[in-house]
Amino acid sequence: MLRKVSVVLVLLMLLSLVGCGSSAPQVDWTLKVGGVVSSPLSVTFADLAKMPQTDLKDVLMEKSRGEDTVGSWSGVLLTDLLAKAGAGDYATITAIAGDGYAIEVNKDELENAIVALKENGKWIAETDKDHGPIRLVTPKTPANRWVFQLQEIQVNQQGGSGVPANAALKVTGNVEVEVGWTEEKVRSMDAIQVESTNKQGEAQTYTGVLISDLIGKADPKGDATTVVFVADDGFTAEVPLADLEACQDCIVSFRDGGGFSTVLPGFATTVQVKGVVEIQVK
Amino acid sequence: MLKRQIRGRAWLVILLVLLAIALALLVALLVLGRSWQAEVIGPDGVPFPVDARVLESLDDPDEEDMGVPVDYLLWAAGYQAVEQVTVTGPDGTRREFDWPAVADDAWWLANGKLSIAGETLPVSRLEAESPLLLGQVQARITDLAPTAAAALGLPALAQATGRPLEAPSARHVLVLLLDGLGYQHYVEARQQGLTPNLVALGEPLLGLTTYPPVTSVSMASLLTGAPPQVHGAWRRGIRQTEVQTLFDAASAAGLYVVVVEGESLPFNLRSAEIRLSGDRDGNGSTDDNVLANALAALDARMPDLLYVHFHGIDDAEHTYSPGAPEVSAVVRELDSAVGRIIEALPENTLVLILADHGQHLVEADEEGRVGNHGSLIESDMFIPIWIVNK
Repeated sequence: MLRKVSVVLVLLMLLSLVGCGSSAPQVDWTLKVGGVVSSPLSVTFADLAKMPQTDLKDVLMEKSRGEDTVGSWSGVLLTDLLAKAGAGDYATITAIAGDGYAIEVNKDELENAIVALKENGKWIAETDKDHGPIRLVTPKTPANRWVFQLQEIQVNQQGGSGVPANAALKVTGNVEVEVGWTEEKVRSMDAIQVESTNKQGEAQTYTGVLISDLIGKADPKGDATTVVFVADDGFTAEVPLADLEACQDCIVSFRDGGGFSTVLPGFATTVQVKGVVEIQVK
Repeated sequence: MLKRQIRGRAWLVILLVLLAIALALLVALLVLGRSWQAEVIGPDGVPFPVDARVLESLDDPDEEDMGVPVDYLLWAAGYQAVEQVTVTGPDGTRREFDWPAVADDAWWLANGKLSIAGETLPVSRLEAESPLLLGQVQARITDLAPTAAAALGLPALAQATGRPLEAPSARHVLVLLLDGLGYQHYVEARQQGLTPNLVALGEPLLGLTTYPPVTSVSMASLLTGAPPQVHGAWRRGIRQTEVQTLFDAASAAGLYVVVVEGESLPFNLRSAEIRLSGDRDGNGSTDDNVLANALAALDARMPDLLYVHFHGIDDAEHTYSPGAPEVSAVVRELDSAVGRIIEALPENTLVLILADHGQHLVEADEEGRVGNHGSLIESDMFIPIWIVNK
């Protein structure tokens, strides 16, 4: 009996050790996918680890400094992520790193590209923290496009960009020109104060920029009917475009700790969106 | 028995002493082997001592080069551009080198010797001559950030070593970078009639960029007003500056700053609205995309500080060599782009146009590139600088 229990215990220990080796590490990291997409994404490291993984074997890494290397990379196919975000026909993506680096990469350079979580079978998050936890790997290009500390992917259409790479708020979708602004720029715009009732039922004064003004800068197309507010945690809320254009006290308010929220007096509480980062016109 | 024990211990002691002596000799040999001293006589006649430790401090651990580029030592000794170098060996023999011809292949090796154009030379003293044009330099790349800051009424950048050039105060400032258009190259392009819009701005100042003359380092000096040893981005691949940039100062003062770049950032820019301009139309150039984004930024609302970076001349020079017909076509196009941007500027805008470095002809490398830059020579280091008030 004792021998059986011991064997089971040993097996359990071995199984747990095997499990430790392959399970994803706990990493606090979120990748955003936005721009010209129908469903902006906000995926955590854990989400990425659960998605189907693609292995790239013997990939040449052409470095601008130091010796070139050959290695294997595993991660999520970029096309899977873009499809999940609803990216249609696009020209380029802008890959933005956590330290502020940004590069725009053409679609034809993105063949077999992955968002890599592992290098040579090991989690980048554990073996190369300076270049992790996730990295864009584009096997068709030199390594200057392999953006490490990947934090955001913006999908771009052909033509000039009205959206800064480091935009904190943008208006996208069914508009003549997509526009975006940094946090500082939004806060420097003409602001108004409005009163609204918060979730606790108390009247409160908010300061911010009229949503109709922001949408107006993007010039919605004639057949546009709906606006979708997208929050930094992926939450979305829809409002008829006509209602917003008519509203003279619907604002994007300035949050104390940075960022923005929608304040729509008289509208349902579900459309008062904290941490709004994108206004999509449909 | 006792005698045998004592004799045994004595042998042990002798053995240990011999081992210690051998070890000391080995260490001495190693130290002596690495121990060498030489000097670079600076432009002011002051010797700059060079030894293994100095060489190690200048070595780039990520690069598996033969040693340290001799240019680094010449720069450290105070040279800003070099025309000719004289190497004096320990036995007094002297060798002279035309520096533009060999600078790309001149290394100071860890054993204290020089490798120049494949030849290994013992050295005790290195002297250099600067090009005559150096005496006519009117501005440095580090002067531009102080000039822009003064024009916008911003406080001086604390770390800046540059000085504000003569310029009026202005409501807006445009900084326009023509990557790779060295001073001599501009003079030749002007003579060929390729640059009517730049000619209309008047004679440029003869400017000097920083060493190494590569975009990320020069751009960091341009935006911080400081040399690489101060701003920290001293080689390609360093993505952060350690000090405040002109953009940081302008944003802190509540000014609206827009950066229109090519497909990527040469180094991370804080405090500015960044508009990348990748080759979305797939025509092999980002210049048309940069121009479109610059004009769009002007059309929306002229920023207080607008930075526009065209990469086409540098790209074409790498591919076709400086002065090639394909490069001339790009120079002509970008001259036209400059004209369109200036036409779209509002009144009371200070316009600063410059290059970050020049280029020189090289033997084709593995990627077939026949133009390059990064050496302490006239064609790489001298740049044109225009300061115009619109």
